[in-house]
Amino acid sequence: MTSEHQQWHQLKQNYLKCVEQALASVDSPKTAEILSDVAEHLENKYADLPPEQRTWEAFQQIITEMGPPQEYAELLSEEAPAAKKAIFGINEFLAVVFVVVLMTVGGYMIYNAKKTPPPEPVSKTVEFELDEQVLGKWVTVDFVKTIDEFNPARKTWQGKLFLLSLEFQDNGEVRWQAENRKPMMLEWTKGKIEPFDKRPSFYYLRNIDGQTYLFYEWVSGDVTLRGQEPYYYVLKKEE
Amino acid sequence: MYVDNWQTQLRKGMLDIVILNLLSHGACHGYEMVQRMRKIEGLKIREGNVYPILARLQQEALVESETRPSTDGPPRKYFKLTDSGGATLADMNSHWEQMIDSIQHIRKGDFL
Repeated sequence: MTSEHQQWHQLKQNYLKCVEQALASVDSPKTAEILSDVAEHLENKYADLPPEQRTWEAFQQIITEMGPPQEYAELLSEEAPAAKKAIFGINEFLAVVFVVVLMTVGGYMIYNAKKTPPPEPVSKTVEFELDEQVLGKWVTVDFVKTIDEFNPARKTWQGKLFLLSLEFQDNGEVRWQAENRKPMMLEWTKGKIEPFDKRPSFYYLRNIDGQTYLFYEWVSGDVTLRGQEPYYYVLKKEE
Repeated sequence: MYVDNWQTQLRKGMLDIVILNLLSHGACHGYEMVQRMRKIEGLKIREGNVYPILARLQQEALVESETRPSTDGPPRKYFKLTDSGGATLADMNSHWEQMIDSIQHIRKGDFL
C-alpha cells in the first residue's frame, strides 16, 4: 500500500469509527447500512481524486465535507436538534474526540512523512511471496456472484465491466486498471491483493475447459461492513 | 455566528424535503444525489448528511432502495420514492409554499 493510500485508509477508518460511535447513541437498526453507505461514498470520493491530488490536505477536505459524526445521530433521530440537552453531552464529547483523533493522526503522518524513506513496493506487514502462475497481464471477461456461476460460454454480467485488467509484477506490485480511472499500483502477495491490515482481496485460479481463469474478489463496503459475500471479477491471461 | 448556526439548523430541517424532491425526478444512488445537490447554489450540504436522512425516510416507508447494475462499477444501491413518499412529498411541498408565502407577508408587513 502506498503511503498516500495508507494515510487515506487510516483517516477513513477513524472517521467511520467516530460515526459508528455517534450512531450508537441512537441505537438504530439502520446503523450498519448507514456505515456501509458512508464507506462506499468515501471510496468514491477517493477514486474520483486524480492521483496527483491525493494529498493529506485533500483527504482532510473530503472528511470535513462529510460533516461531523454527531450530525449523523441527530439526523437519524426523530428528536429535533434543538431538543438535545444544552450541557456538554455525548455528541459534544464525540466531536472533541473526532477533532483530537484527526489532529493526532494528521500530526503523526506529517511527522513521519519527513522521516520515513520512500515506500517499498511490498508492505512491511506482509512478507512478499511470489506466485509465478499469476505474473503478467490479466484482462477481465466477466463479473459473477460466485465462482461456480461463471460459464465461459455465456457472459453473466450484462453491463460494462468496471475493472479492466490486473498486471502482476514480480516485485510485489500489481497494476490495477479500471474504466475511466487512472491506473493504480497496489501491493500483492501470493493469494491476495492489499489491503493486508484489513480485509484483503483474495484471488483464486481455476482451470475451466482447459483455460486458466483468475477470480478476483471485489471487496466493497457491503463486504467489510455488512458481512456480505464478495462478487468476483473473472480474468483471463492476455494473449 | 448566529446566522451560521441558524443556517445549519435550517439546512438540517430542509434535507428531508430536498431529498424527497430530488428523488421525485427519478431514482438515484447516494453519491450521485450528493453530486447533484452540490450543484445547487446556496444549498451547502454536508455530504454525509444524506445517509441518515435516507435511512430515516426508509424507516418511514417514504423511500425504498434496490440494487441495480452500474455502468461504471459493481451493482449500486439506488433510492426511489414510494407511493406513500410521493403523497407525503406533495403535502410537504404544499406546506413549504404556504410557509414561504407567510414569511413574505410578514416581511412586507401585510399583517400590520
